[in-house]
Amino acid sequence: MGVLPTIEEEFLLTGKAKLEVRPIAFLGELSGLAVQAAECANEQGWFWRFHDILYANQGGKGSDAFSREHLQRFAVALGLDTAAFASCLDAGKYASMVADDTVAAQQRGVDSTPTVFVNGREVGGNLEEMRAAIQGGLSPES
Amino acid sequence: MAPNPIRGGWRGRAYTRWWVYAAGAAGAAAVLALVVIVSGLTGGDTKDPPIVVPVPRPAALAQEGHVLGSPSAPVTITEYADFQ
Repeated sequence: MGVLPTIEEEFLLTGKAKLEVRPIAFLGELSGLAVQAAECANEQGWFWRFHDILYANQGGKGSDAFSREHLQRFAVALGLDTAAFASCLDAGKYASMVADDTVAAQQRGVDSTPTVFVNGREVGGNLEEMRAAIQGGLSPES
Repeated sequence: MAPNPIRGGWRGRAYTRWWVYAAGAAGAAAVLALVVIVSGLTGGDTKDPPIVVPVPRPAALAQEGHVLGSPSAPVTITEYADFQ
């Protein structure tokens, strides 16, 4: 099991921590398009389902797994309002936001993904480091 | 650059320096263009790959916008993520 599912089970489901994802696009044009698609899904309250379907269908660098056509197929598979999704994505509604967020992340020193912070402090992505950082942010009675 | 074994495994994926991909993007684009050209000449396979639809998270886990978990939780984990 990866780190994130364990963190979800131990800390998110128990109300001790919350996870905020800040999508950025370091890895090229389709990377940016995928983030825009997630934002369009977010308009329909489906950010996390879309987030999950993206990770479940990654094709690796250089693949077309996140092509415009495939992103639309994901929207269909999840049962989104596909017309609204297509309109949002084709209009490039979130293109500049994604670019700005990526620049802001770089300015914060983020140069790899995933980069993780706990209460504003960067931590390594291994489970024990994450657990220690989260426990350190909890009050003794939590 | 090789995957970092210490920092890898967030979602079972290795950490990846973005600029490595940036440096390789031009080469990848050239290869991709060649594949497209060859595929066009040979009438390449256009069948779509099957889509994996993950099981939804438990309803007890709050999901609001980009945030997963209770908004009042005392600890905030912030993840910068590139979906690709």
